[in-house]
Amino acid sequence: MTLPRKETRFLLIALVALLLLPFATMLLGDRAWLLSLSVGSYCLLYMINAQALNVQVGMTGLLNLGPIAFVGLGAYTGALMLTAGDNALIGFYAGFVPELSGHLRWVLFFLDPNFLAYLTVIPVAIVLSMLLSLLLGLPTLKLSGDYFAIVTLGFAQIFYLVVKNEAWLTKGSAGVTDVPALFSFCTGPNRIEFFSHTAHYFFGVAVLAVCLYVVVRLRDSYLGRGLLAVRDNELAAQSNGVNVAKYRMLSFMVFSALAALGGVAMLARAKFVSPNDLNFMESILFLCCVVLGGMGSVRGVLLGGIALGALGEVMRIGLPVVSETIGYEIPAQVRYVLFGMILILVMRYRPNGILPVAAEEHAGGLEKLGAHRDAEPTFFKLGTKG
Amino acid sequence: MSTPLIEFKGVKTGYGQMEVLHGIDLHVDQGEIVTLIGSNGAGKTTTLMTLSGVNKVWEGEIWYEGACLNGVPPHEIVARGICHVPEGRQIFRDLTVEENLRLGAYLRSDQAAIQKDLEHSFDMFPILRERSFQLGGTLSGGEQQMLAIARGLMGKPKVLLLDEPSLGLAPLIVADIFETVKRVNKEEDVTVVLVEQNANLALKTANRGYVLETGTITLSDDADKLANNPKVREAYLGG
Repeated sequence: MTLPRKETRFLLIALVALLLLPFATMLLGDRAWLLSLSVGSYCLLYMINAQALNVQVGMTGLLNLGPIAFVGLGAYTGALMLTAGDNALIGFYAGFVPELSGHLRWVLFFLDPNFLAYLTVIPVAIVLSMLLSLLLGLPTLKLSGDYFAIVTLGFAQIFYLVVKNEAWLTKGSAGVTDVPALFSFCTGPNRIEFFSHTAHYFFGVAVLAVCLYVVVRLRDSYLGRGLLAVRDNELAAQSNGVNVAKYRMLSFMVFSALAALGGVAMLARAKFVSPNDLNFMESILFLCCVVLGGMGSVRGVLLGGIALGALGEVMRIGLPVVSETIGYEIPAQVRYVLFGMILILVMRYRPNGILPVAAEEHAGGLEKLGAHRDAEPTFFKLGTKG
Repeated sequence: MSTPLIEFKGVKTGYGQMEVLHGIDLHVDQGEIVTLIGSNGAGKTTTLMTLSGVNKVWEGEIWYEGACLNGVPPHEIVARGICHVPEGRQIFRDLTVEENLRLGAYLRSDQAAIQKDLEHSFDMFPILRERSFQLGGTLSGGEQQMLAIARGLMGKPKVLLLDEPSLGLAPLIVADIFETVKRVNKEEDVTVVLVEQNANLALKTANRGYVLETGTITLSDDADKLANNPKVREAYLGG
């Protein structure tokens, strides 16, 4: 299958736009700049994690209600490894990479000891997350869709409780604090001011790019066809020689790998992780991004991530300001009410999401012929056959 | 006597706690069209599902090409040349007609031959060529059934298991489909196991037939003899 050109163009433009955003908002003054970075990097996390979830939920039709556990695993693995033994990992790299000064520090960013430590942490987080999905998936993936969803829901809660209570490993409810920054030049008296605010943002864009590449390549491959077949009709997939159990496992593991990557990006942004980050609502919001954007649609889910991420962060920052102006305290939970309303409206008027899948899965052939896809929301077909 | 292509030896299976097949013995020879007839709930579909590995054998054995199929997973059975076209037009609704057909060739890697077979499917069912970019779900019932059969054939099977291909279709289309089945059987040497409610048509198409009643085989004979058997006529052919 060839790459749909229109989609590739869209994704490349989106990535370049994200990359240029901080430079554009710089012109609007410091406050706007910081605000755009805060909102932008928050959106990036949603885009990454929603895209990961898209592989499992959107492309394979396996509902996962606990994606945050795998994101959390990535973040915690990173945080614990980076802070272990008084930042020993960074110390180890600082020992043998040359110490740079001035602008060389950011030009040769890949020699930065902090960054090398982060790069070391990423594969470990990914492997651990994939192992976990394998362990969880092996006994449960043969359950039909809805039961599997409950398993993931339960698992995320167990993960949350373990992280909260096993303080000897996870530092308990206080969380892991003082995680070193992505680059050594982001903190301390000799920091480069620009990068101390933007490094994690650019890292997020890079992670998103990797994520998009993996997802698109997977979907357009032989394996991807198998995933789509499993989603569409399990019985038919089976009787055409698709090993359903294997493909379910594959989608789960790809999801968990990308989610762990998203977890590290989350850590790079916050430099802190606590059990509060493993809130069940986060799982639901990732899922909302997928449904809102269009299940299985790479472009759609990207837009879904931007929409919900931006809305969340704008309301978090904006609500107190509004409350102050009108002299009445609006509770923070109002944002969930708003999410609910948006979701209902989208499902009513665009049941297949903002950008449904038809256009891109079929290499543009459908668009040309003007064929349409039936307007049933696929979300409610999850776990049912036929 | 040569060994049959497929052989059921005292096969018992069922769902959950309930046994559906109470020890079935049957055989299918190379190049035959064999039909299973019987009323609703007799176990016809279950027999096919067990042969294709979707259902597990509880007791007894299924032999195919001199090997026991017990415990072999469905995708492996497809790889060995048994293709199941399940009941109720199980097509991929959200994939195009062409993608549906290509998925039928999922286990093959001979691109050039696949392309040729794709053309061949379109020749066999010209309507599918017209609809090749349309989503499977937007086809009519008859077209979907043609697509399901064509997709099954894309896997280059040695054995085609057809479950109720006439279900809910207009008589003219049904005749068309059965004609094609016969042609495929003769021209491409595909052995066919046909499960059908429409016993009349099934017995006209097949060489041999088995009558299933509540999980047991009660009769087996050449198709034309079965069609003239008074008991069969009364029970399944409307007197």
